[in-house]
Amino acid sequence: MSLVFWNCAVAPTRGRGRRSPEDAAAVIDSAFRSGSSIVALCEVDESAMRAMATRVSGPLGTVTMAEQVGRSRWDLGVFYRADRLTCRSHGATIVRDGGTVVRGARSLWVRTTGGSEFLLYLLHWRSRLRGEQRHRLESAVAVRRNIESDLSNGYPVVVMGDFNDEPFDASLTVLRASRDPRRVLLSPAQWLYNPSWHLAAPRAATPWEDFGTLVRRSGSSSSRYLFDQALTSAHFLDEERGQAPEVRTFREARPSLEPAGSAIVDHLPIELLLP
Amino acid sequence: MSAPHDFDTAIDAALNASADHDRALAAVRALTHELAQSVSKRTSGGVKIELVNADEAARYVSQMLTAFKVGPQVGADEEDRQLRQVLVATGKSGAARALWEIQFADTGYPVTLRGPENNATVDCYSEEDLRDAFVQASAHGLVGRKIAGLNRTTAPPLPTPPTSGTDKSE
Repeated sequence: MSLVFWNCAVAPTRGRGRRSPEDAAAVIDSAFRSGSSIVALCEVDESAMRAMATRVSGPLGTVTMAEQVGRSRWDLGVFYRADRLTCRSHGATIVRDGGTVVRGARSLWVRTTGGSEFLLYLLHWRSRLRGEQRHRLESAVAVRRNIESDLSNGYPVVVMGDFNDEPFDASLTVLRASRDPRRVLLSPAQWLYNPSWHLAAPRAATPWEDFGTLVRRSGSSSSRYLFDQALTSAHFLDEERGQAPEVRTFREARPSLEPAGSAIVDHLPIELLLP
Repeated sequence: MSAPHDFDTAIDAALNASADHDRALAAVRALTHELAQSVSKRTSGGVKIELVNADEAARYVSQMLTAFKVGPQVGADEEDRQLRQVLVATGKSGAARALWEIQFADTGYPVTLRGPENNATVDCYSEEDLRDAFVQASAHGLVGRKIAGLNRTTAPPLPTPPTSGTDKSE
């Protein structure tokens, strides 16, 4: 099964959108045409989801999570192939600190037509542009506790999102996201597998090529980061068969990381392939 | 550092953490008291709200939210049990409903509210945050339904809607 996550920048909670719903819909359509079953988005709202839905073909289901929270709102949405699975909203993780309301994650139950089920956590943590490391850590603590509860109940878990942190940052450590599938299999109630690590650095043979999922342009230079990641519970690992989830950037529709127009930041979609 | 000094520091830290926990617990109790007074006023004393340890709540609330998992406790003493509490509404018939669960960190904050909907959690890092979360949870429709349901047996019957043909307001 293929799941795509993308910070599409159509309707951020602050400031203006940097991409039209039409342009975003073309990427989503491309993801479904190439076989994805779920396209999860952040930086969307109700009207953006409606506008995109009219431009994506196929038997689609949608879940929009844009309700008010504190002085802001959730900015998440999901399109899914309704002939392959169903998604229904499950829970919300919120943190309040000093009067500030921080969005931790939303979770959805995903049930395939074949009968398999898993919990899909989606998140978009606070931006690095304004610091906010403490809030990302608090989010990680809260989300971690809920995932721990899910794992103790035996539920398979998938986490996708724009963490605004790299795989080696503290918040991902709090989530116990490991790059080592054997470690995850040793303590499946504790650890999540992070198959996104390989995207965090350039390949040795091609050090000047893009890496990561986000580019930030500052004057004439630019920096690359891996803020968009996917994690899974041990349910999706099988050492005997050599099976493990894979993450790759979804480049069919957007081959370059260079920000378009006057944008200083842009994200690539990531695709998670579950065995 | 000498061993005795290690323990002095450790016990100081433990007592400080204990005081922090007591402050968080006191804040939750005060908010519960305020909420209980408000519910009592609105239901003419028909519904009582109280804070009980999770294991006690499980005895008489059939639909306990059970998402908070805790491992084996050292002694299941009062102090252990206070880490997980449930806000319970009870009607005059004795029927009870869990409104939301509360879990304290070892040092008090963050205090986590789980509910009123299952799988909705709010981590609160201060008394002000806690008050906001309590007020927001109290305003949830599910809480209203539970309180109204418990109060129904003791509340006066609702006025009978007008029969068709008698309403000339159009």
